[in-house]
Amino acid sequence: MSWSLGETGALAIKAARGAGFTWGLAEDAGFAVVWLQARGLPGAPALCSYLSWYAANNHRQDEQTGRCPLLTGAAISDGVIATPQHAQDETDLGLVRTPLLLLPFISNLDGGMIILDGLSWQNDAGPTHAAPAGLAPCRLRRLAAPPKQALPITHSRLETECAGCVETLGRLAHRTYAPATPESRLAGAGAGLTDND
Amino acid sequence: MDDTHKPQLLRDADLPCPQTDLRPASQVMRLARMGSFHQSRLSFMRVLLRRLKDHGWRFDRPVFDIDANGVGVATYRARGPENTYTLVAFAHQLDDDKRSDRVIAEAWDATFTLCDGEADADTIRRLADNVPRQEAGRISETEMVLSRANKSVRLFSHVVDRLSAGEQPDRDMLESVGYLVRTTAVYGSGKFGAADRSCWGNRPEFTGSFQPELLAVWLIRTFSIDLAEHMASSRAPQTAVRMDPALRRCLGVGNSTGLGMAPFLINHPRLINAWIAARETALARVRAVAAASDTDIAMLCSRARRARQNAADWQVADGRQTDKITALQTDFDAIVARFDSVTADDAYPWDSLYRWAEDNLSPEGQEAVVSLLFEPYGALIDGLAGCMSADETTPHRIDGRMGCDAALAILERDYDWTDSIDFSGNGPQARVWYVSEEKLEPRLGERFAEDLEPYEQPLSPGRDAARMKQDLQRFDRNQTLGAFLLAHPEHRHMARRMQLAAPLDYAEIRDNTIDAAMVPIDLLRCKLSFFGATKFDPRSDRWLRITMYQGAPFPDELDRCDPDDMVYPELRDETARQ
Repeated sequence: MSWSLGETGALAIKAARGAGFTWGLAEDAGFAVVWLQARGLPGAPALCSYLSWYAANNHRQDEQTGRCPLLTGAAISDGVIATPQHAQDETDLGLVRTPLLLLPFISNLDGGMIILDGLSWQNDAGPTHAAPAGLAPCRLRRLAAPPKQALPITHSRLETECAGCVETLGRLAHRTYAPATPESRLAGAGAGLTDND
Repeated sequence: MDDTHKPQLLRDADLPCPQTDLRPASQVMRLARMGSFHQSRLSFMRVLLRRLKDHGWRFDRPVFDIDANGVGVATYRARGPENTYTLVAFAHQLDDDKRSDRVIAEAWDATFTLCDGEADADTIRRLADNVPRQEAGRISETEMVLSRANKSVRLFSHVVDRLSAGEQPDRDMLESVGYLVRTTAVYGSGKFGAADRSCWGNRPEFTGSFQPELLAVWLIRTFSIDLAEHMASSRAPQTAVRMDPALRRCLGVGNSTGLGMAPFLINHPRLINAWIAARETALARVRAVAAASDTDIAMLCSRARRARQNAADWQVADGRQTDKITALQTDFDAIVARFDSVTADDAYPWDSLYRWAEDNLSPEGQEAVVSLLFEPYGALIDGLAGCMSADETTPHRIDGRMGCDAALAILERDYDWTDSIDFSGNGPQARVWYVSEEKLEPRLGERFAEDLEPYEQPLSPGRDAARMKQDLQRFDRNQTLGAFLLAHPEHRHMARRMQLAAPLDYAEIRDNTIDAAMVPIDLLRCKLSFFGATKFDPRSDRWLRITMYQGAPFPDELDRCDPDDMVYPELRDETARQ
């Protein structure tokens, strides 16, 4: 069994909304997951891990528990968090939870000149498939030249090993659905009519 | 929109194509007008059939393993210059008490998938475990469409009875029902595991929108006839006959469509802009035709009469639609007379005819004229079909560095129509778009009667723009939009939408989509007219039935038929020719 990236993105949006984010940030979460998965990186497990923590911890986000990767990513992308201006300059982001989710937002920045330091599972070739959960102190660093290798799009599906993740995201997404009532059933399209014509 | 902001011209080729100004969004993007659109040359079904014919596609039926009770599997193969697609159709036995067109149904008379390529025995076995379960099953990246259909029990029985007795079915009955089966969902683009649009969107045969879905529906139509003929011959092998090809063409595929489709136009601003911009550009090109040939005038006079007959045959129970149809029928007498008065000596005949329509006809009549005017001008406008898609894979990245004053200016320009709406009143925010736990589909609820607000979907751009405008007016104008969104994350969705829509003239519907008086079927009608559907039959303010491909050629006759001509019915008698 596998999932299309289109349905994965749609599920991620609903799950982020169900976990308590605004629709606008939820859309950013959907973008982030699809961007990562398309490059073979575990975006769905990362979002699953972060949203589960976020929902279980009453939407906390502070220095102590780590910054929210979605809010931080959106603030970087929006230019609210100033990015380093000169080669080798750095911007300290502090402690970020599930920092893998920051990557897609940084990819939005000019010319791929800025990289994210602090992913403990990153090697010279870029991020690896290691577990994306947890906290890491993160910095943005401006390179003197663009990285040799941009992350290529290699995947078009979310594979079976993400089934648990899809289930968790599905549970969060479920919170966006209104329980049915007898009134709503009667008001539904085609209700109470026979289709044996 | 201010007067200086005119819709941008669309170009499908390097041809220097003259055209008049486009109609402004303030005129076009109103629900009352969008709910009056008709099929046209640019409708996706017509685009598909033209392309299949022009590129010499071939069709066959490799598998037909269906028993005398109509249960089993069949496959329909479409082979083009580069690619092959196969519709796998599963026919089921369904008790009458289980037959429901609503999305909560769990069983259907037939279920379908369109495969990318051939469907071998292993594939069919895998699909047999999943496709009949529809949303509860899973398809894969080698499938493109998932669909199901229910029979029109009355007409299906009549056809099987007549054919098995060696007789043809009753023409009036075929025409009035219009289909043997009606689809109740046609899912594509990555739904339930199917391949994403990005996997096949660059194939030439699928340029435009909804082409795999509409290919599947066209093949489903053939399956519905084959099933009836097969059941007739199984019942009475000695006497049964096949359907007369002319009678067969009276049948299309029905479709029941409800609120699930309604938010589509709001959720896909880039795509809707592409559709409407193509249609408006086509109109502008035809209005710029300096003089019409006698052949073109004759074709329009003929098609106007045939469209008038279509309108005369259009009968529905819904009161609002009946009033619109009555006005359209009256309009058509004037339309036919007006086309008859055009001569080859007239300068810019279609521009003056269109202006006359605007001044004298109902919105239904005006939009019928728009669609008719396209008919003789395929060479001018058919290329625009290639512009009717949009890359929606990447969401718009918010430009947070935009100043708050610039953001406010965009809102004041593009959402000026919200100024006259008092969103603090109950009426303008009476409705809530939400997704029900039971259906997992969009629904429309009453904000002040049900506790639905926590579940509200972002489908009210007018209200959201008004709210954002209000908060921006109170915010420091020297700050950036990014800073505003940090303080007001609730406006992030609207900020993205506003920036995305700003350069796109027709991305936004300029009506309040949560107003007490909003009629959801106007949204459905607009979308379905772009599909090429006919016989819109509203069953309430929130769902309707339509017919697809009625009159169109079947795969075995496409090479010798003109699918564009067959959209319009043949004139019945001499009186209709007047």
